[in-house]
Amino acid sequence: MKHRQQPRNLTWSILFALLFLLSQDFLFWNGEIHTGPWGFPLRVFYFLLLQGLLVALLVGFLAGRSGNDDPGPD
Amino acid sequence: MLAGNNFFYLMIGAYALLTLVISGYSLRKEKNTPEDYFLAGRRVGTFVLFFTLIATNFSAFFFLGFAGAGYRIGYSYYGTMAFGTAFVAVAFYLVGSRVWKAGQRHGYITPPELIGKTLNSRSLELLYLGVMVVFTLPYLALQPIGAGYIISNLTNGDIPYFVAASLVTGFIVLYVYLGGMRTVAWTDVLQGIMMFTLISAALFMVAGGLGGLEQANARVLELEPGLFTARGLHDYYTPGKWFSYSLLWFLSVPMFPHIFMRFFIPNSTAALHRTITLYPLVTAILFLFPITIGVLGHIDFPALEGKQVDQVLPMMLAAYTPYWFEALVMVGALAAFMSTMDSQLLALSSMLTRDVYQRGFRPTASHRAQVLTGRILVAVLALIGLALAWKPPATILEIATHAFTGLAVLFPTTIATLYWSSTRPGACMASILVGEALLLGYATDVIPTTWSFGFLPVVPILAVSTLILVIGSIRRPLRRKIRE
Repeated sequence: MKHRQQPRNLTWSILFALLFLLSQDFLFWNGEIHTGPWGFPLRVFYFLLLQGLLVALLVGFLAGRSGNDDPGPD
Repeated sequence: MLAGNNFFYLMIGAYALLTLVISGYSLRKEKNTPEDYFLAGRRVGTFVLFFTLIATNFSAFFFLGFAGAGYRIGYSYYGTMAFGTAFVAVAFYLVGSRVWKAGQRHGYITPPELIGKTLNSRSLELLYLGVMVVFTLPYLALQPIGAGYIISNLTNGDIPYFVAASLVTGFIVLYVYLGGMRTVAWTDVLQGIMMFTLISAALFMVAGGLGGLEQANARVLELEPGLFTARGLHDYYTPGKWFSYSLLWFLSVPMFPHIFMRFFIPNSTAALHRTITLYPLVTAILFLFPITIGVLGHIDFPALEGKQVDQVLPMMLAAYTPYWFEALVMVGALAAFMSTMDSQLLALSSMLTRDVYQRGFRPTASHRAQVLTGRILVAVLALIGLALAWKPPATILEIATHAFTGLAVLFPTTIATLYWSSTRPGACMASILVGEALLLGYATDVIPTTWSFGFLPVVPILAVSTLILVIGSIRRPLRRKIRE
């Protein structure tokens, strides 16, 4: 069980690290200004999307980990 | 203005009354044990945990500082601040899930107690405690300072600054003294809901007054295009600075003792996990509102400078909303000050009670004696905070500005203690001492800023302290069973 858990943890770690990398905004660092709905810069929607992705990742990652309320062995 | 002042007093009175009613309600459930007083009996569910975590973390800086930063930097501030804070949820999981389990298993109440007893080192426990106290106490003093200024400004000096600061502090002591964590957590729900609703309503009213959000943003884009760029106004951000801030929140926020202690209080892992999942939703939506008000401030107040910038939110409210609404939002800001200060008081008091009084002087102290000591310490710490607010020494403000980096130094030790069985207490102590020494070096310019290689000092400091911890533990590994 522990052996199967480790590759899965690695996958989740990579996904979270990738999201962090995307938040560094290096793709659009020197980009031109584009505005979207309500006149907000598109960059604001990009970060809204990243935060939505973070919630989705957390939901997936934490699913199945909440059932164990037993503090476990010493 | 007199009628306006009366309305403000009425709002403050209503808020204080509601807080006391909540305190009274939570008092009915109280038992006289340290676990109950400091941790609400570890029986806090998702709803209260969620609000107490956000109300504690988002101080009045959320109202006043965010709008000021929006004015000074622009929408790029939303990128670092909102996503950076949202990503803290991952750190909450890494630290929180293990801390919760350790608390349930071994009955730990404070962060230094967990670290010290897990690694079986009293010296490390005291060092960890010392760092937490040094960087939290000045931060605590900032709360009565801010509350004093808000009340004094809104009443046009009718209530002088220090009288206002004393009244707010006295009121906080009253309800923390009586009900401990249960009262603090429940009042946080009220304070959190006020923050949500008031800042949302504020943006809609300001944008409405400016002819709609789209039109207002278009006007600002014409006036100051720099506010819409990735780098921010006057190229505020560099890639190194951006990365540093993203990392700083992640490493430091869970290390604030008043946040750390909230990992002990959930009634189940499910409550903790649900709160962690909901946390980024708050930052995504809520952080945008004060920043937008700050950006729009350029339309009416194009030349604010220095401390004036942090007044842009009340100035915009005064320009576009009725006085009663401005007063209501400022009561919300006051609530934010209070929700942070009450938690800081309780966290510091619990650490001094458990880690100094009980462990150091009276190991056989009864539960009743520990709770009484905790209550007395709440009052003593509040007096110290108030004394610092009387004429804030420059050093206090200086330490407060370095609080995030100073506490982030504890992150490697915390993670290693929770996850790595080879961790040695000596290596942890060296990591903390060197980290804090480097911070002192950067703060006093003994170490030139060029030595941070384009990052904020937190990046090289954390790299060095992590390296010391790892090398120190690998060289002389200490096998132990991780006490989850």
